[in-house]
Amino acid sequence: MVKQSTKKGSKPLVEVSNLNFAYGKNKILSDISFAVEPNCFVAVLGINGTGKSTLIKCLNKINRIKEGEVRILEQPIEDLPINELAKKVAYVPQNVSTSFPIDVYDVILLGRRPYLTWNVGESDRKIVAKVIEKLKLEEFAFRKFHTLSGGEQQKVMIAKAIAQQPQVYLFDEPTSSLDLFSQYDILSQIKGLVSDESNACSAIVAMHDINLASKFADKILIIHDCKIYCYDKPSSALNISTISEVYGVDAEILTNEESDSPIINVLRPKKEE
Amino acid sequence: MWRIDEVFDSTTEESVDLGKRVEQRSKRQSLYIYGLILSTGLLAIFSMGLGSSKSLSFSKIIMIMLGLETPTDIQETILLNIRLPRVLMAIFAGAALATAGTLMQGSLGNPLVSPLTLGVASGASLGAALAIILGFSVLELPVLDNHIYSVMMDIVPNTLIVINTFIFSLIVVFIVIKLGELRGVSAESYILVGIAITFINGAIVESLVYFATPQQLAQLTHWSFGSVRRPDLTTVLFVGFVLTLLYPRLIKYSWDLNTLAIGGDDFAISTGVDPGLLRRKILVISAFATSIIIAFTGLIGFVGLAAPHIARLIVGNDYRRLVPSSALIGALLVLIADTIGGTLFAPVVLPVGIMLSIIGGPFFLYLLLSKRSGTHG
Repeated sequence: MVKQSTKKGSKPLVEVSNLNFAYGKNKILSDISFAVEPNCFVAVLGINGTGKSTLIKCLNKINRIKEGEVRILEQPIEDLPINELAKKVAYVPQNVSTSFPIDVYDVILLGRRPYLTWNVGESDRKIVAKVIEKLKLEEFAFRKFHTLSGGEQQKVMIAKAIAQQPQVYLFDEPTSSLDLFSQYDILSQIKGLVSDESNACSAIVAMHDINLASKFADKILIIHDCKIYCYDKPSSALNISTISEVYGVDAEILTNEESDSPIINVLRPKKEE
Repeated sequence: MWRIDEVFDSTTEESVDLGKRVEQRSKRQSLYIYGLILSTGLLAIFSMGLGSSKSLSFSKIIMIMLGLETPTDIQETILLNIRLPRVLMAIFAGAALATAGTLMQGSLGNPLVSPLTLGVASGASLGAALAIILGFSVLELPVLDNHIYSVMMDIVPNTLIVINTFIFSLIVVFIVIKLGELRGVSAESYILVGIAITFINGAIVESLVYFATPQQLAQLTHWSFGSVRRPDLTTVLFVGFVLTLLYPRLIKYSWDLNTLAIGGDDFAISTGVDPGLLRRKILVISAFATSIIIAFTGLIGFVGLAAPHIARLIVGNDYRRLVPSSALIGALLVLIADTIGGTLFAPVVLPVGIMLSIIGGPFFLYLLLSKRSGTHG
């Protein structure tokens, strides 16, 4: 069952209106508008270079927007200092290539950075301890971050994001370099975070794998030719014509008996006419 | 699913265990810092006991410090006016340069950076060369400490050189920072602009040297050997006072540097740190601290590069501990270099800048190579 997360009366966590973005003269995003309700897993799809990552980075001031507006909890992000924004929005980059040997524990502790001046308080330590316990990172806690595998690092980054206690999680291709187990592990963690009704948070996840998106996401946002091609639940968003038009492949759609989510079976590259 | 709020009422066995391990770890790391403070203190006292005056031995110093023996007037003069300023200046210079190096390596994300990378040294050389060779100074000073002596010897007074080097190194760093910003506030733009400006300044200094008289040349060369034995006690205390004011500001950036070190600019922004602003602040404060030291000591370069790395090998990369540790190691290095330089060919004193590179260089190499695959890294 696809969970209907749109609760009546609940205010959107993220509202993007008429967002345009370009790197120099190279236009990436054009007239992007969408809203994300609480407890929603939004998968952002599109072919390479369509601006999935660019969009994610526009939502937390990594990319400074010049046209359009992004509101987080009804506040325009331009009005929020970076430190305040970090209490509301957490970002997990695609991969963190660090040469700095630092304990995993300290990486997770950085999630408390927006709340700290100098001293780490008792509550900060407790929060970190709890996150470590819940993500089962105990055995890594005092290993050096850069010695972990890609999947383990990604999990530590998620732990850091959780310690930040945000309401919006941004993920930039969290599973792109992971093995099958880690892919499902990470996405289940994200799904678990957003589907907790008592905690009004949502995740916006740039992804490559359509089938993983279909399985885990509540809504799919497809970017094509700089614009939003569609923004809908997986069973409506993912159909043969969409796949053909956006990805340029012929495919058949199967249905996952268990979850009712579509499974895309790619048959061949689309023939040129 | 679980909620983060539950945190406060649950203490499972694992979290207790984790808490213990965190505590143990921070105790272990504090231990290093206490050890460093102790060694610096001991070495400082030991170094106070060394000098051309044989009447003031190590044991005598201890007796005097403990109040068991009253020093004679001459002994007091030697201690207060020669040895104390020397030892204190070594500590301040080492600490300031090492701290500046650590912060700059962190904020620019580059292990090869030292406090001199941004052109501080080239600015200082330019200031010194202008003062010594052209007699040009930014300030007109009516009466100078050793004015008559200077005129007789055709030597530019020291105060003039100090002020000139300080102001010129600051000017150069500000030019570098401004030009770096024009190119975007990325780490590499600062480094590249710094290198370019260093070459330009170097060319100007060499042109000046070409026209210099032998005396001027000698004085410039003498200046460029860093030494902690130039400033008097008042000056040293003044430098110490300024650095004490700066230090809390510097150490405050530890969290932000940790963030930057792990994930770069994007990660820093998403953790609430503005990397451009952080870089600018750190560069300005580091440049100020470096300029103040170099103005009084001449060029001491190596400690700003090596001390941060040695500290990393010992306490790891958490800037909250790295910054104080590397300050202490810097102080220790300069103190060792000055002490050895003062005793090796006594009464000839080898300048601390040279000694640092002679002793520190191989030691630094040894550490880097031996710990290459170690866990401390």
